[in-house]
Amino acid sequence: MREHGFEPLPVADRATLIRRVSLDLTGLPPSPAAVEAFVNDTRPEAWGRLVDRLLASPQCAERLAVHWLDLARYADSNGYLEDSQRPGWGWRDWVIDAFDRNKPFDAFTVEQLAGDLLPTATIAQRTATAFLRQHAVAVEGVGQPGEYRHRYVADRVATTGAIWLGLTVGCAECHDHKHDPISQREYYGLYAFFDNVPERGLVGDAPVAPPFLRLPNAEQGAALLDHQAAIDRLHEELDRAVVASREAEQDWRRELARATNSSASVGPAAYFALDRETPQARLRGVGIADWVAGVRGKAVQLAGTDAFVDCGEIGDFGARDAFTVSAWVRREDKGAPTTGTIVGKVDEARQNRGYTFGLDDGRPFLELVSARAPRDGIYLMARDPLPNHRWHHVAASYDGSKRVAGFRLYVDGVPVALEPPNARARAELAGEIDRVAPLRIGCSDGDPFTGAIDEVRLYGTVLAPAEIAAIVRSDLAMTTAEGLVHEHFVRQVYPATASIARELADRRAARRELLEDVPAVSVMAENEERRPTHLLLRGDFTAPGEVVAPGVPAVLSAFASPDGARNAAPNRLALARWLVDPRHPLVGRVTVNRLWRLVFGRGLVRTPADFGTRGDPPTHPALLDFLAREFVDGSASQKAWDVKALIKRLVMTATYRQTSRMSAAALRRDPDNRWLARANALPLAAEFVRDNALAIGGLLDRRVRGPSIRPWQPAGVGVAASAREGFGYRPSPVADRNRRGLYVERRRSAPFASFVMFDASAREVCTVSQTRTNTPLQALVLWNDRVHLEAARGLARRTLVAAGDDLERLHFAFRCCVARSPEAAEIRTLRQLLQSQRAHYRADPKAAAALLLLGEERAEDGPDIAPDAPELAAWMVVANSLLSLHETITRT
Amino acid sequence: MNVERSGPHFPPRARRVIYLFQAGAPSQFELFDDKPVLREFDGRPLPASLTRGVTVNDQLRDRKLLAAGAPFGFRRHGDCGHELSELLPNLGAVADRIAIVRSMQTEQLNHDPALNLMQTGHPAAGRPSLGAWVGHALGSSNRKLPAFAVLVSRGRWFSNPLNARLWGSAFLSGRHQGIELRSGSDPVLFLRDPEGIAREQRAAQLATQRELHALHCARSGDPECSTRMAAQELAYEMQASVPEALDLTRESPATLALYGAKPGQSSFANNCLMARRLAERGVRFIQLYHKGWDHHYQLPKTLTAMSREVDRASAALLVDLERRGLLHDTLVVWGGEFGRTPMNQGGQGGDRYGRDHWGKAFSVWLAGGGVRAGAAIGRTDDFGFDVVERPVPVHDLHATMLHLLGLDHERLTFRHQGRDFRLTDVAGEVVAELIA
Repeated sequence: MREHGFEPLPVADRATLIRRVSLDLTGLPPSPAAVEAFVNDTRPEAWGRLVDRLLASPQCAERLAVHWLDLARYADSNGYLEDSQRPGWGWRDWVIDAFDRNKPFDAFTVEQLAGDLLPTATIAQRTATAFLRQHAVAVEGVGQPGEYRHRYVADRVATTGAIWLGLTVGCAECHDHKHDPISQREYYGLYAFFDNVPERGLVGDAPVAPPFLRLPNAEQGAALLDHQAAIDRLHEELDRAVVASREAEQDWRRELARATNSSASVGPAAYFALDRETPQARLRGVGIADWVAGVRGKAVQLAGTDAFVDCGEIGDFGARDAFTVSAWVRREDKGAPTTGTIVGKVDEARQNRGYTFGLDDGRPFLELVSARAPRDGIYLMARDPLPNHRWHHVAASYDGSKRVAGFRLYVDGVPVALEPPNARARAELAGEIDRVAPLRIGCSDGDPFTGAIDEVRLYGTVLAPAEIAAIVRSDLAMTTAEGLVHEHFVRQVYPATASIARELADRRAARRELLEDVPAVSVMAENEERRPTHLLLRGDFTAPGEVVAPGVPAVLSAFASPDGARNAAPNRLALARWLVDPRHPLVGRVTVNRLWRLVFGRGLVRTPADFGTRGDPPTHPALLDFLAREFVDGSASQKAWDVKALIKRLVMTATYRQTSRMSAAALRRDPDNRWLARANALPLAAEFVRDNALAIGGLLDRRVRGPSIRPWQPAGVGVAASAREGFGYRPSPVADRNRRGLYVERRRSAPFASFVMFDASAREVCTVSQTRTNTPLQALVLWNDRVHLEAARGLARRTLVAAGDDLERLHFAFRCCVARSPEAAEIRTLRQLLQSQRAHYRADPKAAAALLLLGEERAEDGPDIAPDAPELAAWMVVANSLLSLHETITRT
Repeated sequence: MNVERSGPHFPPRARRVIYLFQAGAPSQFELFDDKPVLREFDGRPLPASLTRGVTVNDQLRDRKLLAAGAPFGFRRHGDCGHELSELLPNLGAVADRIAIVRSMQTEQLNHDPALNLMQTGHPAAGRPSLGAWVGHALGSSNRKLPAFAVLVSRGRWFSNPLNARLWGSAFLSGRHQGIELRSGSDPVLFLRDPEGIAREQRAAQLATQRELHALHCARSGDPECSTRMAAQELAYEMQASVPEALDLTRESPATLALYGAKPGQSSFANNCLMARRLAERGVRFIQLYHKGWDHHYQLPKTLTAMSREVDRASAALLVDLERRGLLHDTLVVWGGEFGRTPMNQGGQGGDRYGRDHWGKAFSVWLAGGGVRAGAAIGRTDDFGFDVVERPVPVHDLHATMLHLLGLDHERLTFRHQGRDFRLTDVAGEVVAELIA
């Protein structure tokens, strides 16, 4: 600084200092009481005590977590086109915990990059590796899975490179660059460390992308263990009971053989044996279909493509007609249960009118639709999915009442447990269902069936349970399928085994239901047999070149190679340990620079994500080296890799405590403040703009950790991002809405509206530094976003309670917002505003009431002293202006 | 150091862009690229010489690749003789205003990366969008409206989602991100004051904030403080100017009828008319998205319905811009993220067939500012399988668009993480034949 002709500025005033350090270390403003206490505490150690108190608070862990989540591209959705939900907050809790316990940065590094590979890895250490799985993933679609998988691996390389090495290594993905120290081959050497995950390019219907880890809380964990024990026990009981039932089974088989062929009171309106293609049942569509051994003779087997059996204009049932559908099906899903049509008669061109009998996530359902948007349809689904790879008889009947109460569902001739009503389940159908479309087996409305279908029957009446059971029996009597009769006898007929089977199904259902509530996170794991990593020519995943072994770039490895580099295959653990080897030339410097930036607003290296040959050189190289050395090795007063100790060291400096006031001359000579001759005035990040307002309004919910929340935002945000009508953003219950911005759901395709305007990272890729803007849209958020209006109302209430006359109250409100006391001129203009607003609302009390309600049905409970509405409304407008000030959303 | 540019590199032919993006990718075969031979082959396998080793998506993998001819008539229009489908009668009437490129190519076969490539020049997330680059380079010419406006509509057919990153600014300043303008009473998020705060109260608040900011600016010397002051003044003005700009009730019945627009609805027609109103008011980049072109099945029926609405409004926009003297310096671009296969996908014959994604050849059209009206660029083979003349990759389209705006795509760079980034990455050539 002095070399460049600057003298350090005086220390900032104490109110500004406590606000600065509180915002920097916790992302929250100090309370007026805390400001007053600090201003009056003139002991020399007051500053150090304040810093210690802030660093030890859980709010500091939250603040540091925000910084880390941007780097880690954390989001609550999967990204890409579908952008489905991702319940990954278990990892966010891990990050908060790690900062709360001040986990040393070397362990913080190793656990996130390779926690799964540590000897005796704990659940927490495996959870930590979710860091490497925070990238966007594609769920389904018409993609080329290999391309997506390549993107995931490349993202891990880019993120790791940017965070620990401060390098843009991705440049070498496609080819060598003349002046770049990292070659394409070396890039794929790094890539190989992250390429050995047992993962899929398209993750399909898994709750989260495999491999994943479920994170039950203690209660859920105990319940899961209990279910598992019961399921194991029931399996054993069933095995024993089956042995004991052999004789009874022989008797029953003889009886079955004597049974009459058809027991339904009426014959089917249509019957498809599905033994071969016939004029009445033609294979259509494009895709894979085959004739395979079925329940009786052959069955049609479909592969979830667009092939289906076209049955022509038959099965013509309207909304007022009773009917029954019966079929044998064998699910053959490769991964999670899929959704597919068994029999459907749907007119896609007319809002999907018609009826569909199928499996939804493997569970039998019947649906009648009159219109898709707005939706008019009725729907009923069984509770349990059909077991995979086994023949089961399924049937559904409808009594023509246009009510869901008129539906019945059967599996293997027995009525089944039903799924409780959900959003699709309307009680009544208003309109007609279509009569024009052809009947199709295996596909309608774009939901192709995966598995085999046999013996499809349609009846123009409601069959009684006994009649349905009789169909099952008669098919079993004639069956050519091996093991089917035995299976049916055990599961349905013999009382001792059937009751155990039912109990098993109930237990499985209970466990499944519980698991739906248990958060799961995608984590890292290694393939048992290493997947060979190929260099990709031009970065094209369809053009694999030579095989590349894991390894680090030569320019960095000169001083040391990863542990075990001499072994056949160094892994991620070796890479992680190499990064935190004290001799590593970059990791300490890059980390110190990033934390320096967190505290001072700008790094000693201006390009925090580029320490390479194209980045800016450091402004204070000796200082950076010194701090990095101390951070990595530790010192007498400080442990090695101690993040909070480093932060404390930075904020204890005189440089940190300078005033941020800028003289015009200094601003001209050093606009970027490279020589640190003043403190930087820094705009608050998006999350903290909201946190700050909530805290000032006295509304902040300080609960730490837990699931993401959805605060209120304007209707229609993200509609473009949704495939069909309605994005379905439903705000959280009021009691959860005012948690910190850290917990606000981050949906990649439809970012939270006000965060976008304050330049929050979209969390698509690792974000090391975000540009900060200053736009009219931000002004609109501060005036009109509901959270800011609620904060204004909260501040108005606090103010009226806290102080007596206008002057005192204006002082109080002002100090709540910016910590310092107002000047006379500031009070003057605020008082004018207050008086004009007071006059306005006294003349128009209805407007005051409307403002205070903020669109709610009724007023909330009033504060301790109940002022008249015009007074509160006038203060709310003043508070709204104070909360909209540049100084309020700036750390000075 | 990244310096915000304050103007073009050379005299521009176009001062603003209206991009009529057809999301989901409309079929070129039914609209722009007539293939009688494909029609002859309908239902029969394509020649193996074409299809051997070709990359298709999962939906067509391991299947017979059967030709699908388009069951629509084509005829020539205007003096230039553009050949257009009977589904585009209105565009036909203004055929002499447009240039058609029938040889567009993209390497991306999935919606998400293809949309990204078309809108940001790169298949993966993380790059600024076209509109953001243009805003960065040229700034705004109306401070009361956003420089980069986004309008989204959807057809009645199923539509794929659109990610907000398509109009994001990525590493460019957030000032340059597209602002989604919505139909209804709150066209910009948070624009409307709450019930109980009247306009004159906002004025009083603004006056107070102005004084407080002036004091803070003087005391702190923080230049951002005066920027904030200006931004708040502008916000106050936007509260009036944006609703005014989007208010279609101010249009004459004849104009509404020309577009097929109905005030109060959300539709492509309304958005085209709003685009003209925004263009008049100096908005630099107006990005429309019309969703619902992903016709894997039942293509004729759905494409016919989509085309009817889009044809009328697109042509109306050209007519309206021209009669108001705006067409000569407004670049209008129409097209999707890729094309559709010459192969049949739906497979049911008749009107139930559909087409999968296709990147080897597809069509877009351009009009207005500096575009050589009447030009037909590029040619595909008899099956529309591949380009045989003048391929135009996505980066070439971008380079050309920038060129018309007076920008050299190789000089429009931004230093980020130690690297100079470009919209056109390391590729792109201006398509000279497209320029008047």
